[in-house]
Amino acid sequence: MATTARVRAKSVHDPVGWRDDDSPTHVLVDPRRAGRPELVALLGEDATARWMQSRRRKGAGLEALQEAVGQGRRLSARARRRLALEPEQFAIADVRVPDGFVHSDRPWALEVDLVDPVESPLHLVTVDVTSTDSSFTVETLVGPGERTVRVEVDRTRALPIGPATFEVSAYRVDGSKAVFRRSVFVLPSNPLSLSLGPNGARVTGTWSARGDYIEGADRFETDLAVTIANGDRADVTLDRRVQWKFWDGGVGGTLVEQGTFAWGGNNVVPRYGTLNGTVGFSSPPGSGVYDRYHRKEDMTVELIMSAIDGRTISGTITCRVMEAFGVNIIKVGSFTPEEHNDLYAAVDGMQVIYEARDVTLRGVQRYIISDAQAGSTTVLNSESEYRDLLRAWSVPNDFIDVFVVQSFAWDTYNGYAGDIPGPLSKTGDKDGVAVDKSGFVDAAGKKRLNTDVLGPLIGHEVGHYLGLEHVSTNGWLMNGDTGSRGPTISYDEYQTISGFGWMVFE
Amino acid sequence: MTSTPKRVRSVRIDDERLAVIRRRQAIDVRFGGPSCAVDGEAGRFSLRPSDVAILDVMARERDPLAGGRPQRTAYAALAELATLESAEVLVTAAGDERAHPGLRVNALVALQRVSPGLGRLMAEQLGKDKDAVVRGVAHATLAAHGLHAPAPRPRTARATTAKRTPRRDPS
Repeated sequence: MATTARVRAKSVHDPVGWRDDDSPTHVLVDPRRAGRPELVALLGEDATARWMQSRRRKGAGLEALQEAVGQGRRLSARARRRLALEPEQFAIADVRVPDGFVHSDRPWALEVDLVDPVESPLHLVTVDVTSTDSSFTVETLVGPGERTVRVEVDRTRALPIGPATFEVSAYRVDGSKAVFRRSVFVLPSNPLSLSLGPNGARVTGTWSARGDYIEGADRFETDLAVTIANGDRADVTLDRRVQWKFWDGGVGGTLVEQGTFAWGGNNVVPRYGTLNGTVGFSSPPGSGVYDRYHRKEDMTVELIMSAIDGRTISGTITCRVMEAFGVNIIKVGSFTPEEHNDLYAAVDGMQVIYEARDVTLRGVQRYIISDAQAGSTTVLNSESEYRDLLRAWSVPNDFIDVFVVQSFAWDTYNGYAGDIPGPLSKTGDKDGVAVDKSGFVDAAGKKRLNTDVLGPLIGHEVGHYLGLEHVSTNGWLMNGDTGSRGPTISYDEYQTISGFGWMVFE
Repeated sequence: MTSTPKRVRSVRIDDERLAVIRRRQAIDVRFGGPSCAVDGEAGRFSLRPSDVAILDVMARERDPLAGGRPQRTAYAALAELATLESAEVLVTAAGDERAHPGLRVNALVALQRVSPGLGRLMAEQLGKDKDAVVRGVAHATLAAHGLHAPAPRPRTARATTAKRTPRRDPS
């Protein structure tokens, strides 16, 4: 029996907006600067737009416009949300990549659109850049009245091929802040490349693909995300035949298995764009790949493709079976549909954090405790209320119970784990963790959850259950403070997790 | 497998006009906002009374893309500072009906830490709030003061009873 491969999905993807959690363009109109078409589009009627413009011509400042609106000019709720009439409505409306792409090893630039109802004497714009091999910050000062800022970066800070994320912040001199996230896939300047990543991964960085054991079918599956990037001004057509190799000990070591598959359908990589696909390998018992996975050995997968003009590109990634744990996500009380979606996006984010350290989830089971059933524990006021919740509820399996409550009203805490490590039996009042659902109201006025906070928060509390203690290092998952927390799990921590009783090889 | 990151120098601006912004950045990162209750650690970063002005700005920010993060950090910091000015900011925040109920609860709890008296007054007002979560916390706050026995909220089962399994979430 031998490993087989096939393409599961393919699509052309714009290199800007690479991640699915980029900030949405923020529609916020400065009434003192907007033209009539913009005002009409927002206010929905020409009369109100004309009225606003006439006020402005008469020299009405922000306060006068606010007052006029307050005195009965009828505006829809949507228009009120989108009209920047209050000093607090400071925002980054958009972050653009001027050419529509970033080339590797070359200078790059961003354009940042600010909306600020206040005439601040200056703004500071900071861009925290994370690429596959580095992270750094670039700051730019913005003069009074400037609302579109160009942030330019020289060749010494050029980016490598692959995903990069720009976390953009703008500050006023009074300390107020606005944020925006923009991501790109940095295109090769050479100009064609092939990159491999674990399927479904969203974060920027390099890590391993997972050999996933399918119990019912007794086989291992290896799913890879394939990105072919074209940094040239002309489309590139690929040969449909793709060669693959599994190596033991890296490329050039011992060849475990090899073969080919057909890249059917669209095989054109657009100019300054990317062609993406998912490739799945299925390894039955008796195949070399199955045996290596079964023995918990790492391998390297290599994919080789050719353009019809003769150029050859290849990419590699380490693959291995991963240790895994399961979570029961238990909603305590009501969640809106948007909050529900955000919660599971946060769980996906948590999985990515652990997979970057070669630990994955064996499953996510979904449960709910209604408001009536939960009673007082929809909001946790104290440790005793947390213990009440755990004494009352649990899921009888070997997954970690994660209770997501409406709020923590317990000092200024937002999460708790009953013991380090958590127990291996679902009894007593220590067999689970609890987190604040981390809600906010979005630009459309809908209740949402902050996935950037909630994903690491769940990961942090689960980390306690798996045996991890607090650390004081900024950027680490086990930092106790939300604002200082990041995705890093150290190798020592990985070893601790690895010894937890509910971990299994997946 | 994580590769060793390359060192790339950041570009930072040294300008005395940015003093307040630098302080804001320090509060964001080094104060850290709400924390995990394990160890009960908080306040490793030393706040100054003069920080109230920045915290007020943070509490009032309305950037939806920040996802309530500045507010939660501000409320946690204001609870640490425990000044009259902190209390004023928190009263406004707890009463803001445009905000997410979870944020309002955080503000009320912080207010209770700064001034139990003001916390009680605010809880009396919020006891009639439209939102059930806010109302529930207001009632619990009043009960803690021994005032206004609120309509009893059902307690969950105690250790003497068998644990229950939550129902599967169909959504």
